Amino acid sequence: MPASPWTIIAIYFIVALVVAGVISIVPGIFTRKRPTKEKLESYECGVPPTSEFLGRFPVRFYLVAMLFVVFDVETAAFYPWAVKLKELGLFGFVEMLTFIIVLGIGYAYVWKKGGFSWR
Amino acid sequence: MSFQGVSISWPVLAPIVALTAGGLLVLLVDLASKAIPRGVLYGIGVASCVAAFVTMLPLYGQEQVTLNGAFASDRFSWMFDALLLLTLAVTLVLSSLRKAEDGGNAGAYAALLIFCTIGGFVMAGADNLIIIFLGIEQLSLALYVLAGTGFPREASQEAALKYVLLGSLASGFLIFGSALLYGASGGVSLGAIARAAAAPQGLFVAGFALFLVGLSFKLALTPFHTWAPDVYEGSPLAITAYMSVAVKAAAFAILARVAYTVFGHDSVALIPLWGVAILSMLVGNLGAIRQTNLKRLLGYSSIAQAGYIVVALAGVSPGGLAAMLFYLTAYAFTTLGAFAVMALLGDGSDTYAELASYRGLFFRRPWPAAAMALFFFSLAGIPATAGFYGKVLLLQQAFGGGPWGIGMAIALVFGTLVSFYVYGKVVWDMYAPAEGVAAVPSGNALAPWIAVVAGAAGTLVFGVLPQLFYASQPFLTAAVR
Repeated sequence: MPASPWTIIAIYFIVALVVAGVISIVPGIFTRKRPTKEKLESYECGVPPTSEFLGRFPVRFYLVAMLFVVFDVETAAFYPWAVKLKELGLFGFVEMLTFIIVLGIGYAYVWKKGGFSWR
Repeated sequence: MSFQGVSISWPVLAPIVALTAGGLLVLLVDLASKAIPRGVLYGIGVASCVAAFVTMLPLYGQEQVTLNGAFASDRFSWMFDALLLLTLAVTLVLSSLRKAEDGGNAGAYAALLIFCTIGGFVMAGADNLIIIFLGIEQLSLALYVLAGTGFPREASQEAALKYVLLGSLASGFLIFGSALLYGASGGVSLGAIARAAAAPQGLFVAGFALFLVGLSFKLALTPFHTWAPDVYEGSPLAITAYMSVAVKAAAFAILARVAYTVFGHDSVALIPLWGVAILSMLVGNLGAIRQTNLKRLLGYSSIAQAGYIVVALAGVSPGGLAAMLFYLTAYAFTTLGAFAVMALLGDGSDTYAELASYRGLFFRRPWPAAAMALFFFSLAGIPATAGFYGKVLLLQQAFGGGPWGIGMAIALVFGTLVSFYVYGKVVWDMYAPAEGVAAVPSGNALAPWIAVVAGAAGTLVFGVLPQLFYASQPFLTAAVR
């Protein structure tokens, strides 16, 4: 077998496929199916479910999630910048300032247009 | 200016900075007061187009790279940038017409359009897999939202959903392909990938295949075209115009740069692309036959046109770039003109897009009908229009492209014959006497007239005097480094 570094990755892929395939197919063949009402309920970490898991819910949740991701990523970018600020010098400072201003305009826009209010 | 080994040349980035500033200004002005008229916001957008163009002027004919070679500003990207700015300006003008276009949210709409175009600029200059992906994502993410801005109409919601789902799938292919290409070549710059392409391994082939699939999705080439007619039909009219010109132009910039920098003449790796082009020409034209909605018809037409434009790359010869740029320019003027006529006739309802309401248009509105006929003749490729000369150039390239080139030439001729029927039928209907037409498109406004006249002028001038464009041919042939 040629000692290419990719051989290992190929083996990894094959093993992953086989293991995943076996694990998902074999139980389907050998288990005895005795469904009860409890077993068919959707699983919510052991708490009795309050509603169907495919129910409809307000689109505002998506908005909140999206805003969270935006500011989360921003924070993630701030940490390494803050740690390395001295080495980055004036250029790094101005660069981040520009970033904050651009983001701030977006923030102001969302705020003023009522993106944060739960209507 | 340099920073820890990263070279930054601000003059090269100036057009992007100008557009960004323009987009942010639109947002700030929109915030300043509720009483800002929509025209002012769109006006600022058009002004930032002009500002960006002014900053582009000193770059004309220059060859520069910045960001450590990741972003290029050359003759090739300059032409694409100019085309993108033209499209942006026309789209802004067409959007300013009706409130239904932007869902009553003019500030966000205009700003998103500008940010979209910045993505196009990034794509046109990208010389590196990461920058390519960055540009594509910036363009796509903004467009997903814009496709849904006509949200009171269900079709617009449908368009946005389909576009975002299939678009993200395409991005997935693209990024996975890029990752494999990086694995095969050990670098993300197109130069490094070109070195790996000289002796392609399995990994490289797989990576490039996935990359091509992702790009074909964005270009709506068959068999990755299925989203296009639905999205084109559902999106607001101006956004459809923008999609069919700007997105195609920017994605073709990437395709051409990859084809010319990474592969040379007679490259086997590009054969799938030729096959996809042949399929697009057939499916696009045959699919257009049975359409009853003009936006859908233009959607199918754009699939076929994308197939035509790929033909320019057959043989990967220097003349191919000139042919491609000529055809794209002709296509931009023609398509924007056709959409401008629709915007002109539209009255806010959906009937302006139904082919039935164009029956007998000539007797009611002779001038818009004549302009529409001109644009359709150019899309079909009737002599004395820009589309005809463009197709002559494409055929020239096809015959230099070996057996696959000949195959594409045959598909091109066959597709053109079919399209004569498709477009001819619409023109015939417009000039046939109308009896019992229920919906009559009756809009009339100054803004779309400007776009109609500009489109007609471009279509005719490039059709009758193509040498005007070709006066800059030496400049074009040396386009990509």
